[in-house]
Amino acid sequence: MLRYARPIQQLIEALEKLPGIGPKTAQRLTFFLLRSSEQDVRTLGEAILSLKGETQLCQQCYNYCTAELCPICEDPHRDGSVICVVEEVSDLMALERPGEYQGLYHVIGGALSPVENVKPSDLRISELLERIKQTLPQEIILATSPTVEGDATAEYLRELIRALPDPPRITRIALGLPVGGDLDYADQVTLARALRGRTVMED
Amino acid sequence: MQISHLALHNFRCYRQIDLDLPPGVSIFVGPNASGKTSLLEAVLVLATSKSPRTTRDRELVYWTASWGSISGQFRGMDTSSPSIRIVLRGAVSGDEQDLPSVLNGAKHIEVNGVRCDSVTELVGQAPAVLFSPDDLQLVKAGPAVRRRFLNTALAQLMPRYLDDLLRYRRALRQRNELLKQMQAGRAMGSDLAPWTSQLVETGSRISGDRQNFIAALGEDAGQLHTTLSDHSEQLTLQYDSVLAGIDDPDEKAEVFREELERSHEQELHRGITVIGPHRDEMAVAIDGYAARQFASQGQQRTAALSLKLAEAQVMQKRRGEPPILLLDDCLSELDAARAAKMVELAGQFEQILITSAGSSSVLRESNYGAWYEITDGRIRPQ
Repeated sequence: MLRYARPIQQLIEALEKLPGIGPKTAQRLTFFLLRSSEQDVRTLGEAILSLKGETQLCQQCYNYCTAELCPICEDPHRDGSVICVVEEVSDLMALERPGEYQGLYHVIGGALSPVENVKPSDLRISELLERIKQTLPQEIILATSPTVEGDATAEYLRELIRALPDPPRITRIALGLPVGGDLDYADQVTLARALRGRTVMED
Repeated sequence: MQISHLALHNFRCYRQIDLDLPPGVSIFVGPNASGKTSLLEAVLVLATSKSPRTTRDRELVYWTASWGSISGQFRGMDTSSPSIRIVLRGAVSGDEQDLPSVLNGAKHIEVNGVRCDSVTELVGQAPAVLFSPDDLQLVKAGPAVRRRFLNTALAQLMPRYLDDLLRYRRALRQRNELLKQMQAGRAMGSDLAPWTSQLVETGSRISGDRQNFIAALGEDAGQLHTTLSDHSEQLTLQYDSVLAGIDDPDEKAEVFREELERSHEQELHRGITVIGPHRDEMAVAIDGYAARQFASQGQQRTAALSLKLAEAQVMQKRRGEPPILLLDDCLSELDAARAAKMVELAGQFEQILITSAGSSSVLRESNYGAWYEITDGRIRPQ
């Protein structure tokens, strides 16, 4: 069988391993790069290399960063008395976008899932408990996803945090309705869950 | 609810069909293997996202095509007139460029032009009830068939039920996996609690929904069966479950939790969760005797028909509008008197699509409906 020249074949095979990219797309991307300028290809190559070489995990919250602490943990204006627990860095970025939250984060690196063999020891749970003991925050927000796995992880964490001496207040992120939409436009499952998770109306 | 337009592209034996459907009765006549069942199947896939005939969606696509689609325009009694489109990947892997761009995975569902991320956004939009010769299994086969019957009906009645069911199954799978790991000494008992909570929360709601539904269904099915059997037989339904007979939702959850604890040694030993709604049964009895073991084939068929009609009636009452009735070749199995009664009972619904191999005398005599002829993947009005 006739094959592409080795460097081309190599890149096609490497690209195919990326999520969402099949053989056809891998081929298309490869030939696009082959036609691109030397400078563009070099920039892309260097960006890929420095991704691994220059990023590290924040020593405190496990966000990705280029120093020992991430910009959020380093920021003196952030409120250290609240820690928001999320599954992945992408969740942290999502919560940052509105600019509403002023506390700190803790990225545990996933959710419990026996089926995928994710055990409590595979997540940064002992690190979280240690951090709570050291920094004594007043509130822990559990912001794992509202999936079966995320809910189970939140409950698992709640039990462990509760058992600490002088435990902080534990809250769970609310399941809400979309803003700006009328109630009768919300899908029924969202509405049912929002009703179950209703809160007391404060003064 | 009624379907006013159905379009099929590479679906089963159909290459391309565009069909306007009137309210009331439509009768599709054609020889065996001409595509009658597939036509009703297409409407049920729009209603429930799944085929009653196969769990492999690929089989729904024309055998030499890389993708196929079903589109339906529905008309509701109030303002809801959903248009639903489902695009499916075929077994043939064609050129990726030829696939519609919306088809990222194996199946794409859209309601009113908006992509559905979860089936819970589809199911219940355009409810339908299918009657088929396989319905006999509802009475004859094991409890799993009746649980599926309950799930299909309740999911169309309440999207929230489907959400709970999907979450329950997920929690059950995770919990069973953990039990197996505990068996092998690879996990700790304290890891089980959060999965138990998820199971209890969703499972107790599922049980409550089934309990209420079976009560309503039993009332209607009992009356229908009496009518269909000429007042000679009494049909009764009973919800059999560890959680049966508890009305208060909190109490149900509490009992579920206690029962799980009670069975803990057994589940550790077997490596699976041994109690819960996944073991529920809806017991069907005729004159007090279990229909599964003691009823004749004819009695079982009448009972199955009563259950299906009752399902449609309960849906109509609870939703305030009738589901679309799909009758797949089910009159041929009944004697003339029962078939005539069935046609009469079905007539109270807003829209009924009927398929028939021969032109059944009952249908001819009833002298109603729009008639269509199906041959080789083509549909022609008669």
